[in-house]
Amino acid sequence: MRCEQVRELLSPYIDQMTSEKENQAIEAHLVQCLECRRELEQLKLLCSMLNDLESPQVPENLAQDIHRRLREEKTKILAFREARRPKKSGWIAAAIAGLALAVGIGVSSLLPVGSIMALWQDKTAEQDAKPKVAIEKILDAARIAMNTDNKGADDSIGGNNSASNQKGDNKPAVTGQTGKLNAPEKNSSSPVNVAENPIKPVIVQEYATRIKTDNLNESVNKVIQIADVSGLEYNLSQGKTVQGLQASNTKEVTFKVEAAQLEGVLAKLESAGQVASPVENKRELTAQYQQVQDKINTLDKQVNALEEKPGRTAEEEAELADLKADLNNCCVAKENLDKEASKVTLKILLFEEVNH
Amino acid sequence: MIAEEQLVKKSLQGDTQAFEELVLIHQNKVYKLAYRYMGNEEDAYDMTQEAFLKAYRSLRSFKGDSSFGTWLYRVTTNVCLDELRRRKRRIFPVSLDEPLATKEGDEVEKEIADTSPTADILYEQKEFSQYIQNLLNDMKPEHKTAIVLRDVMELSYEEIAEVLNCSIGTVKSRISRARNVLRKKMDDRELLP
Repeated sequence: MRCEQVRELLSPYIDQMTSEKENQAIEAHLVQCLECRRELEQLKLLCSMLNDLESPQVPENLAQDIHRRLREEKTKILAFREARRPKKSGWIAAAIAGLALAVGIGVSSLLPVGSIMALWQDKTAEQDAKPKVAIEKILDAARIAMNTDNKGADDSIGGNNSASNQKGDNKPAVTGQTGKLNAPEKNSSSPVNVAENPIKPVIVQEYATRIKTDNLNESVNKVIQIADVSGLEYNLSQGKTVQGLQASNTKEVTFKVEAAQLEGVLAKLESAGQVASPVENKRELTAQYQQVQDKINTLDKQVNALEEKPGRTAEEEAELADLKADLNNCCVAKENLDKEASKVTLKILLFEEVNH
Repeated sequence: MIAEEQLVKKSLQGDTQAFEELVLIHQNKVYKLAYRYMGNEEDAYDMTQEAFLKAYRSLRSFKGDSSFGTWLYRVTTNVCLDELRRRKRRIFPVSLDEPLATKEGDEVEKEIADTSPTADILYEQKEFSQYIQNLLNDMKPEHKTAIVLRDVMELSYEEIAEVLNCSIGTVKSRISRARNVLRKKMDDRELLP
C-alpha cells in the first residue's frame, strides 16, 4: 500500500473501523514508513487531547430554567387553545374567548384540563339558560341540552367534529394557527394525508348519573368530599336545564376515575342522595385522533423538508416557524386526547326536588 | 435502561414530570455537546434549553429505534446547527475573528496578526482548551459535528450515523477529514511532535 492510501485509513484504523485485510496492509506499511508512523502518532495524540478536554461546568440553574420553560410551554398552549375554540356566536363568543385566554394564562398547569373546560361550559351554559320564560323555550333548551348530552356535552377538543370530518373541511378544531384570535384561516399547503398509519380505536368511557337530594349544597359538598378522599380529579359546574329541571336546582360534578374505581365510587355516592343507575356513553375519539396524527405526520414532513434545506429565504423561515407552531399545537392536542382517553369520566348531576 | 424506557413512555403520555427526570439524566451531556458546538457558555446554556424544549414538543417523533440519549443528541445537533446557520446569514460588519473560506472550502483564520499561541504558552490547560475550541469554532459544520461526537462525546460510529442521519461510510470520511484539518493546523504551529 502507498502512503496516500494508508493515510486515508489511519483515522478509522485508530477507531478499529478498518477490516482485517486493511489492518494487515496498514501495519505492513507502517513498519517501513516513518512519515506515516509519525502521522498516526499525531492523530492519536490529537484524539486524546480532544478526549481530555475538560467537561464544562454545568450552570446550577439549568434544570430550574428548563423546568420553568416546560411549564410555560404547557400553560401557553392551553390558553392559546382555549381561545381558539369554535365560536358559537359573535360577540359573546369573543368575550368568552377573551375570558378563557385570561383564565388560561393565569392558571398554573396543575389545574386539570377538565376544569378549564368546565369554566368554558359555565359561561356558555349561563348564556344559553338566560331569560327563557315561555315553557316552549324551556323544553327547547332541554331538548338541545339532552342532544348535546348524548353526544358528549363535555366540550371536548373536537366539539362537533364528526360533521366536519366528512366535509373534508380540513379544519379540525385542534389545529393551531399562528397569530391572533381573528387571524384569517390559513390552509396548510398540502392536504392532510388520510390514515397513512391507521391507529387503534381511541375511546373515552363516559358514564352519567343523577343524584336526587333534599339539600343540593350539602350533597354537592359530600360528593366533593368523596372525590378528595378517593384522590380523584373533579370539577364542579353550574347545573343545566334538563328534563324539566331548572338550572338553579342542579349542579354537576364531573369525576375522572380509573375504570376499576368506578363501582366503589358509585357506592360511596349513595351517601349523597338517591343515585340513579349510570348510563354509559362511549365517545369515540378515534377519528379525531387519526386526524391529529395525520396532521402531525404531514407537518413533520414539511418541517423536515424545510429544515434540511441549506439556504432558506425569509418567507421560508416564516413558513417554517408557522409550521413548527402548528406542529406544536397538534402535539399538545394529541397529548390531551391521550389524557382524555386514559380515564373514565363520571358525570354526576345533582338535583334538588322543588316542591311548589 | 429499563427505567429510562418507562420515563419515555410516561413522557409520551403527557407526564411532564417523567420528562423532567429524563432532562436530569441527560442535561450534562447535552450541555457538553452544545458547548463544543457553540463555543461558549451562554450559547450552550440557551441551546441546551432549546434542545430539551424541542425534544419535549417533538417527543412523538422518537421511534425508539435508537437510544433516547442518541435521539437527544440528534435534536441538540440540529438545534445548534440551525442557530449557527442563522447567525451566519445575518449581515454583520465583518469581524476580525470570522474565518475566510478558501478555494478548498477549508476555513482559515484571517492573518491580521498572528496572535495564536505558541507551544510554550499552551501549558495551561485552560488556554489549551480555548485554543482547541477556537479551532473547532472555525470548522465546517459537518466536520465539527463528526469530530465532537466521536472524540469529545465518544459515540460509536453507528451512533454518530444515527445522530447525523447518514451512512457509516460518511461518518468515517467526515471524522477522517475533520481530524486531518485539526492535525494540519496544529502541525503547522508545531504543536504536535
